[in-house]
Amino acid sequence: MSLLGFQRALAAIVADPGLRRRAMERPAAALPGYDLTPRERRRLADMAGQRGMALNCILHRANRMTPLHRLLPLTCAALGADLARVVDLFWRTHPRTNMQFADEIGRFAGFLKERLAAGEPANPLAEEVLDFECARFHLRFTRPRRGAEGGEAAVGAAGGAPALHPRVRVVAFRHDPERVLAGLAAEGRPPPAAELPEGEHYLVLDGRHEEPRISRIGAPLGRLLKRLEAGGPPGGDAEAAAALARTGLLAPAPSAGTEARR
Amino acid sequence: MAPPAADSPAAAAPELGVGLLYNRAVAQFLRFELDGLDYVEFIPDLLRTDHGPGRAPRFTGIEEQIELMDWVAERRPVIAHSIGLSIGSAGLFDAEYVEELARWQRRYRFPWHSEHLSFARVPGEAGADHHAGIALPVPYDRETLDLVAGRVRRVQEAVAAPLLLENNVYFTEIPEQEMSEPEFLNALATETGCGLLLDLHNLYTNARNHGLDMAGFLDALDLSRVVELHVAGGNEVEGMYVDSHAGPCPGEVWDALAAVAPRAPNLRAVTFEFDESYYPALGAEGVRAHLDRARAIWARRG
Repeated sequence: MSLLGFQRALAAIVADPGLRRRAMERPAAALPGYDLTPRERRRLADMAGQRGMALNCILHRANRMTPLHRLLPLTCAALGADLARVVDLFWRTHPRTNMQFADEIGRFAGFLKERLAAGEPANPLAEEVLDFECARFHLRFTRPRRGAEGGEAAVGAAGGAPALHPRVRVVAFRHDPERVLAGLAAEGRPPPAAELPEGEHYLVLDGRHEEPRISRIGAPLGRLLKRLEAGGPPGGDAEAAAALARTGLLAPAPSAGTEARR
Repeated sequence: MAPPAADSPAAAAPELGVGLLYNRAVAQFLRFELDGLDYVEFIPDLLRTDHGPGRAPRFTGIEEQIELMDWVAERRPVIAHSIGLSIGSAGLFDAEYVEELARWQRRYRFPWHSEHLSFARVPGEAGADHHAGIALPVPYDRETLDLVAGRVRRVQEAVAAPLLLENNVYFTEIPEQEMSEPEFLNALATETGCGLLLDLHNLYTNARNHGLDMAGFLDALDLSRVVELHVAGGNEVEGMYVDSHAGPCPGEVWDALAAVAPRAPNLRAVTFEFDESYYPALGAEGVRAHLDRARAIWARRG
């Protein structure tokens, strides 16, 4: 069906300004591999040259940017002048999208973490801000129906070891999270690096409420909770175990005979 | 006013009046101002996350949004206005998406539902489809008519509510088309019995960008097929006018509403659309003003 070829080619032109230029300049050669009738090739060449195609390309990029701006605004602010370049590279690396916000955020988060790990860009704040926003997004968009929270199965390792409640996330920061997040939210940029000495900080996001409740916890407890979040044993002594239990952040123990699941 | 045609979806559709298309910015507005609305239109795609064809589960509800729509549906009729079926996509028909629409219909009993006459999803060579990132026009050719008509019939069989198709905005015109847009819409409605959602702002956008003759379009369109009208506003981007729903409704759109409403014998509803990004500028007062103006025209239609 050549209409399929036409639509594939048209969508490709909209997503790729470079392809649009080639379709305008060398229409016969620009779209090899697409099943097109002569009329469709003429149509695409004509459409590529219309002023409206530039707008199509702009709107495509704006629509792809929407989930990032809407759901990762602080991460976008933390990237600052690097944002345009990072997003451009993301789109060239992942030219296809299903436009589902959750999938797009997940894909971008994975991509950005790889780039940050490679130091491209070198940005000491972006990863922890990204982790925070991804955790918050996950809790907001996976909130169970009112009244159903109690039905959520407990998570527990074999032998009844403690486990983090599935509606709780722990985010580690190397910089003061309150200063970083407040600065990004208020000013659209992070505080100057000189004002942010490195340290060990933890935020807990408790998604068992209408909106995730965010609180700060000390480093010793934060480390324990992060180990639980990763599925491992918390370690520590009896005093640490008691402190964990007092947080109210652990999953309820599975009842006898039921299978724990996440 | 002529009675509805026997095969028209409007034959059974209730006359609703004036409403708005829900967006997240107006959640509080709905809680306090529902008395000013005859119905609420919602986008089912925004009430859940779609994990993609073949995934299990395919759809995960966004409970906060569903809870609000449940609350509205207890008090007002709701209408579904989908954005993700991509009914004009060649080589792709999402039966799971349509099944989900049917579930929403069983939940909310909407008197009709609507979709856009366009395509956005494209099947990939390896099977997984991707999204063009923007709704794109379909050529008004016989091949497209046959394709879309078949799709319309499948939706009509699956979802127990009439389907309306909405006229599209296009920033690039497709040359050498076999039919005009009104001819295509008329033929589609005649062949399938589907209704039309006439978006007057889309029409205005195309008129402004391409010199389309609005009056000529409306004269050529079979207005007896129009069940719902949309009004909205937009703004300029890079020298063209965009149907962004982020601007005041232009005077030309109000004029078109006043001209069309009395001529559409099966008109059942007028919906005001605006993007959530526009709400801070528009405010509750602006929403009320648009609804009031629409209602005044609705009341005068005869």
